[in-house]
Amino acid sequence: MDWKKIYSLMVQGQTRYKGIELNGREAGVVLVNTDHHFHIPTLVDLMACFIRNNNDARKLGTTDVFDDKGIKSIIEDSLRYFTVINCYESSQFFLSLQSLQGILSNDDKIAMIAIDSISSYYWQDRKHGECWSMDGYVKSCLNIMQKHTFGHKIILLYTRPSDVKSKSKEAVVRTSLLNEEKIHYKIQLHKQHDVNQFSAVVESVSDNKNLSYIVSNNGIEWRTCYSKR
Amino acid sequence: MARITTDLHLKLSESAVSNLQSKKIYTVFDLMSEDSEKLMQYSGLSYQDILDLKNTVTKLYTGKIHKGPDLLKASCNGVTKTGIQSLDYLLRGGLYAGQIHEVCGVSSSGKSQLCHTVAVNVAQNSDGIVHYIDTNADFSATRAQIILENKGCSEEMQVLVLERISVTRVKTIQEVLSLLHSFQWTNTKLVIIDSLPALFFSFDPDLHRFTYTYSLNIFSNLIRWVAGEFNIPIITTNSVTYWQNYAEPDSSPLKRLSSVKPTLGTYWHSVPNSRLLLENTKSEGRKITVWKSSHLPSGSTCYIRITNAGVV
Repeated sequence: MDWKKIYSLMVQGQTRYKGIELNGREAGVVLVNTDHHFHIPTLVDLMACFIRNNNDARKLGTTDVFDDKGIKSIIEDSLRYFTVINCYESSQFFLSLQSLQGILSNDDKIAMIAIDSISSYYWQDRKHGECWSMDGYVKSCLNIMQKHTFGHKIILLYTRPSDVKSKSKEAVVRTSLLNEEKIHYKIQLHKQHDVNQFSAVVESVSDNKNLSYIVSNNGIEWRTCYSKR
Repeated sequence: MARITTDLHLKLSESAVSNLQSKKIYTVFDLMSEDSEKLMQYSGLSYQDILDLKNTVTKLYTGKIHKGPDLLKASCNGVTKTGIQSLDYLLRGGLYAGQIHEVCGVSSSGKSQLCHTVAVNVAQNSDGIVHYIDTNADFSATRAQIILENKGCSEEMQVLVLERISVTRVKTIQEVLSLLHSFQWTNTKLVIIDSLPALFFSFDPDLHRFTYTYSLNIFSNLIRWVAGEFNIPIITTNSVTYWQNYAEPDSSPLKRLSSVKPTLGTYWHSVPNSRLLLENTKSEGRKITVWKSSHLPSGSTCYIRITNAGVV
């Protein structure tokens, strides 16, 4: 998983600075960090890019308000909306999923919970527990996560490596309704081997979209998008 | 998984614990899964006490919760310079705390030489300890001393620096796991594990695929814990295999990277935060290419040389 993809979703924190619209969401994000690929200096660099490239400030000719001190202050303020739960083994991970209800009840700004990745402890759990298929395991984690976030208006996002798949039919299926153990969107990311080009296939019940993008210092730069049925 | 005991809450009596057990609630996981109102009935505690009990379990047993500004503060002093100028530039400052950096290359590409130099430089430029976990009996104190001599260090300084490098020889993955569990990590500036494949040679991936991946999973979680909780950068070394569509070292970096693979299998591919490929060049030097990284552009390169004063 390239974290720049998720950082791009996270960087929009604060809404206004010195009267300039920053297009922020004031939305809290909780990251359940199991793969430990999250790198806060990269998030900070992306936030700085996002602020510098702010269109409203450019239109107003007021880009000078975003000096280093101003950018630092916006970033520090925005990071208040960001929480990381560091997990290092299976029991910590499952108990963290179970504590999400309490975390959400104490902070009504949280709008997204991301897990990177949901299958980090698969082999450990398989050794000590049942002989899960990867899909069955992901489904059971999803069930716990959905059970403990039920009733809260949040986006759940999880990653899993695409190189470990179950041989049987895919167990985690798409839905358009609120259903446990089901997802609304599956985003399959691909990287071309010898060039800096990526593609994303976004699958939902009603539509499939193909998008291409590159990853630069500014985060994700989307190139093309087309739908196919 | 931890069992429920009376230590978790002042009002949680022995009888309440046995009542919970009679309802098959034995562990903190069972407790957190159960509905709070049912727990009230089973244990006789008030709703507030159940919430307090669940909060205590959250604090004691879940992953550690960090707020964004605290992470930012912790990362401010979190870069350890390797002391090799071109490599530090490539790594945007040096080795980031909490990150696993893997150096890959064929035999004689200079992986151990690089590890020796970085160990000496970090030990020389800080007052902390460098833990060198040596799986091939490759670490040579004489080589480290020669590097220091050629850097012009006094004998006193040489002794001081060598004392800061703690070398542990291990042969099996079990020994490494036990070491990682038992080490005192305070005042550790760097951990080097040279090299990983030697630890996993005893596994035949075809015969012991499950045990092999399980061991890698446990090992990954443990080094992530050491790196993350103690804010220590980690360097591991690994070998590579070449594919038939072998691209020459002088071809474009991204094309070149797609023709080689790190050993240890698919599971390990995504574990290190940054992977560097170390290669011999036509001249006497070595080329380092960023293979994959969560924060460095893939394909960026730097050049180093192996001299009497180590890697420069």
